[in-house]
Amino acid sequence: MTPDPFRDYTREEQLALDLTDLFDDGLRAPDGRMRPEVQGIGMTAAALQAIEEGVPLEFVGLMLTNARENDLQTTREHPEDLTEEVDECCPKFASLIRSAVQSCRDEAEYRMLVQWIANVHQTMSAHRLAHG
Amino acid sequence: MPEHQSQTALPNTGSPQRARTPALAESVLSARQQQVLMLQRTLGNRSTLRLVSSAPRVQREGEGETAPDETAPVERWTQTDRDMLAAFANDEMVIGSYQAGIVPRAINHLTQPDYEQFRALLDNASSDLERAYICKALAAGRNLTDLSRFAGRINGRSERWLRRNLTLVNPNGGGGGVTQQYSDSCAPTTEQALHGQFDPIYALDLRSSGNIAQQTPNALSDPSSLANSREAREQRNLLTNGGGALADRATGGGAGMSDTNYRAMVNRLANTTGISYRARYIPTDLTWAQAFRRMNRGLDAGISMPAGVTGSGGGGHAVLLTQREGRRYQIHDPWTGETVWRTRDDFRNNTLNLPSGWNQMDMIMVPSEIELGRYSEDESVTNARVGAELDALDV
Repeated sequence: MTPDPFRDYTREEQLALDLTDLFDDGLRAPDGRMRPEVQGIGMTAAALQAIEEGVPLEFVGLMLTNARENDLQTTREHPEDLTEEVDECCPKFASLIRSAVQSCRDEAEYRMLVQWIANVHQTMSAHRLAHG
Repeated sequence: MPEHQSQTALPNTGSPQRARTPALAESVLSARQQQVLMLQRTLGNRSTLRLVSSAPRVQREGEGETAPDETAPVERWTQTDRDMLAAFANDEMVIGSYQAGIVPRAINHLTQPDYEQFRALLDNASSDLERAYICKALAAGRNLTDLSRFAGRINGRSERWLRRNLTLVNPNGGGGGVTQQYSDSCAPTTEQALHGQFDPIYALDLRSSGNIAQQTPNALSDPSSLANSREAREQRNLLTNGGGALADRATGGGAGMSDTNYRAMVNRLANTTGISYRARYIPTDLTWAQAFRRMNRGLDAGISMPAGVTGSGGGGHAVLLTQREGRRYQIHDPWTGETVWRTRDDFRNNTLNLPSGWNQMDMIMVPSEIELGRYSEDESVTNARVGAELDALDV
């Protein structure tokens, strides 16, 4: 179920959201910007679900580093560059990232995904600061 | 009778001190000690630094004619272990011969419980590449808590993952390495790259803090634009503590570090590297032929070397020499986080054309002394002596 970007979600609702289809339409809206449901509630729900699944923050940090270093073609050939650590410990989050990579249609959209991962990382960092 | 006089078959040579004449000494010294003696005599004829530092400390299995002494402590660093690390002898980006040589000594200084824990980490590793990196972290002075966490994190990772994430420079050439976040933080960034070359735990931790290769234009005026706040914080602290001044990359206008402070900064990593570097200027202190010899000796042993580049307009920039292949040398340029290969002619002709735009290398930091104080045994004395003699050769 794709989240509705025009309403508020409680924490419990975000944890319960099924993000399997979040990237089915890619990350980019027709106007060239990131789709609001991906950027907003999709991002925070992904961060909260990652925390709930036990994804270590440093794994996402490393994923971000490698995602930024790669281009889309390299990441398509080696999706494990992003997911090798989380594949083992946190398959749900790993699957979400893999589906996001698959949905990227060009390099610009891939850069959008990298920014999205950075936002997830930032949200997880803020959560750690707030909750320890 | 005191135990040290129990070798009655030896000629009576008086006090134990006098027994250290060459003829007698070589008959009673271990193979290891004889090797060091031989190296001291031939000092200057070959890469003593590499040979001494990589010489195994313990006797090889099956070496000698005598029956094993069952009261002797169990050998901690076995031939199998030596063979395992030796397989990486030509892969300085994993573990060079210098750090490989530290490993046996470091292992022998572990307490028995720590040794058993360390051995378990090696036994549980999924590949020799993992083991090599665990050994490298030990050689960098890491404690068992750090090593256990590290070994757990890298367990089962692919070779591609290990080689990529346990360094802060791109060994294959190209971008992705640690990058300066401020206009004048080239020297601190070089220190970070150097640190990562010796300590895979540091490299992994810094990479895991966020993207290390972003060229943030306004890190000072807009810290929220930073991708890796730890990377920037370390650079900020090193630069300001070293007498420099911060400025955005986009605007410039800051101040870098003096060579004196640059050298002092990299030498503060001695607890990790075990190395004291000396700044040698080209052509004032060294001809290019002399510089290349020192670069070869250091880089072939897996010792990255900080350096300085300049240009006709003055000023300077810090870079790191990371490895060599024949007559080509790899340089990490912190301005872009890229590594590039350059030939000897590029160095000699001041045509380096680095990504930062600098062309002329005018200073290299030579590992002038191997400090093995933290593993103080007879080898540390020997290595300090060898280090001093290498210094003398360096003039």
